[in-house]
Amino acid sequence: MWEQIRDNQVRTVILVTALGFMLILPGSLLGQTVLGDWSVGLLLALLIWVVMTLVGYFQGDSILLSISKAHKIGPDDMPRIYNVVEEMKIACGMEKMPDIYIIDDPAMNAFATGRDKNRASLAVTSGLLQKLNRDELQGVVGHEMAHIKNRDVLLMAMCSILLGAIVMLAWCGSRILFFGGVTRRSSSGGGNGQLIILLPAVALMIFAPIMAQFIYLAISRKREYLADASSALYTRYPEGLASALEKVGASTEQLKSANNATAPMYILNPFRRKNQVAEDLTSTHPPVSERIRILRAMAGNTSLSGYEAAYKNLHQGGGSIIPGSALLAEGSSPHAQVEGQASPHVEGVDEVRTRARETHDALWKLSNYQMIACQCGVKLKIPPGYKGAFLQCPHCGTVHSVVPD
Amino acid sequence: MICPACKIPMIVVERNKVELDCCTSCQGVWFDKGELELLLDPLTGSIAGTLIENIMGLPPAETTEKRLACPICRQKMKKVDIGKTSGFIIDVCNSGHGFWFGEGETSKLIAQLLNGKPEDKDIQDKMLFFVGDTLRAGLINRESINTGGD
Amino acid sequence: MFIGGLVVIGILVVVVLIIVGIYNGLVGARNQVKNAWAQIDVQLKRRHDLIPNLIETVKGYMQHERGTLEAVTNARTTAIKAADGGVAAQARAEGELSQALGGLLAVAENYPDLKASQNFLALQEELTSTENKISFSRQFYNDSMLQFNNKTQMFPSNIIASMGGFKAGEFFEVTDTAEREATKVSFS
Repeated sequence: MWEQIRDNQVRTVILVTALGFMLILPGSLLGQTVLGDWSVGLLLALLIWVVMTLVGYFQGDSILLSISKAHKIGPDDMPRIYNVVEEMKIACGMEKMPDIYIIDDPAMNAFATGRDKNRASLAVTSGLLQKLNRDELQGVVGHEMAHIKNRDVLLMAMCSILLGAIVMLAWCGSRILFFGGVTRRSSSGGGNGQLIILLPAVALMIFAPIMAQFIYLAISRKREYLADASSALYTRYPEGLASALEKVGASTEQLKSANNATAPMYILNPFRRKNQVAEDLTSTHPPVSERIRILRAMAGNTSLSGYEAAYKNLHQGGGSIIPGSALLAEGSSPHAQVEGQASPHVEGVDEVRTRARETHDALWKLSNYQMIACQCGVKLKIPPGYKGAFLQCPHCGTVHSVVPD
Repeated sequence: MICPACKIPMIVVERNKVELDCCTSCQGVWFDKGELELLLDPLTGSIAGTLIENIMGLPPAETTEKRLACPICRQKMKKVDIGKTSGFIIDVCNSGHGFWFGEGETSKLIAQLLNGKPEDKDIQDKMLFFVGDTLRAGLINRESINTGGD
Repeated sequence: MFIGGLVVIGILVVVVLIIVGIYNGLVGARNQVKNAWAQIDVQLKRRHDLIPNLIETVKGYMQHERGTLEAVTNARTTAIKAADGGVAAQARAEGELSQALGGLLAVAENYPDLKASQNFLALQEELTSTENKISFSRQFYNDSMLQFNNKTQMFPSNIIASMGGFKAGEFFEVTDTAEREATKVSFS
């Protein structure tokens, strides 16, 4: 597992450099064609990038979480989700528990955020908590913790900032070239010499953002597969995540508060359309059906090499999906079999309802609702804005007194 | 949840592990789609889905009642008549977020129950019975209780 | 010749760096194993602490199950004592406690009043979670041990390992298959 992180860090450096070239090259060319001095262009490009990185680094978490309207919960607020996260923390060997947030939204989704392992956060929607059983929830939590552990959050954040800087630069560049630079070029003469620099500059302005976008998306998808594999490794029960993905994939409710900046961080692309087929090159996440198939094909070998084998099996001719160094670290012996799985508990109607109530009640309590249990079995939940000293139970007529805020 | 008619916060009434949002001022009830699923078929939610689609597909009712906004998405809701023998007009969200029963309707449901004549033939009846039965003692708090005196 | 000298020094520096890297890798892996072992201990103790509360809660409801309750209490006492007796003894005692607990929770299914009690439900979640945590911490310990053992046995790190006195360790194995099933509890 250490290997994975080191590998991730090396990749981050390589990627940043590669994307950085996408920034430096256009910047320099722009400087050369417009101002006759490429070094100024380069400096400006770097400046843009540095500023955006600093802003992103220091603001990161709070922007994301406040966009999504999340409440933080403690161990007593919702013991089940807290325990599930704690179990995964132990299974993957993390030192500190991440902060846990619940997003009040019926759509099912989850995400992880945070710069390093000691300051990480994990958020799940109330819809997810209601509709998944414990094993499925654990699969999802395992996937998100894997993102934290593999420093994917850091990786993708840096990439998206770079991407943003590239796009911005290209936009500025194209404006200048077409509306400012070109006219000045022709008036000061120079003809062919200028064209030699102008054409590639224009080409770069157009293609750099597109190429950078594709690279970014490809990286994002690879990290998703890795997170799925890691989740199976931690839980030793890939069916949990597979079943959860099925449920989440089937739901068509759009997550209300997602926007383009936060989309890659979610477990499922919040902007997917039902039956979207052309997802391969244009999405931050691999297709759900694909992920489910690979997980189910693991058939008892829940190591990373097991995931790799399942992937290769289903993708004749496709490249490998698990970084080579991670496979090496595992060693050659196939890992422990899926441990003692008694047949998964099939949920009854009552359990589904109880689960939904647990989740809702936690949210009511966090929003300062008063809970009153009437003797007839009805439970009344009173919002903080309620004016009145008494409330009559609508089912049996008993009067209850309401505590003022 | 805010009452679409009175714009004040509604209380939540949980019975048999299913929640209804009720307004103590106008006796209106919001039945959320998620809760309807829990009532009718928690394991798949498809029965509730079908019921909602059927009701959404009904033609708009001819009425002069003011159109209300869905408490979840704030879009204007459609008025439909789901009554079989007599008129029974409810508001349904065009995105299928749930149903709103105004005070006239909830009073009718309660009256039906107390007269011993609830219908029980299909899923829709089941839903209506649940609402009526939960509110059988009435929701509007009498003035004397609310102000704690007189 | 000067350049030749530089190249030789360069190679030496690289070799030293690699050796240091391998040694640190070994130390890190061994520390992770130690850490993982401590974590198992934490969870085992936590389970010991939860049990008296559980017995108290169910006693009133399960009047006729004295035998089952006693089995749990006795297994717990044995497990606490076995902490001094070495890894194998401890593993066995804790395994038996898992089995006794499993038996108790299975019998509890027949008491609807008990299942409706909020106290019991909360305890059940805590126990389920603790069993899972024991299971996961044991899994992590074994994973860490595997990584460490690989380093001590595979080339080239095995050279450094034998020089530095790093020896492969034992896995926390569970030999009884029945117990294996009892330990992965999942009350969805």
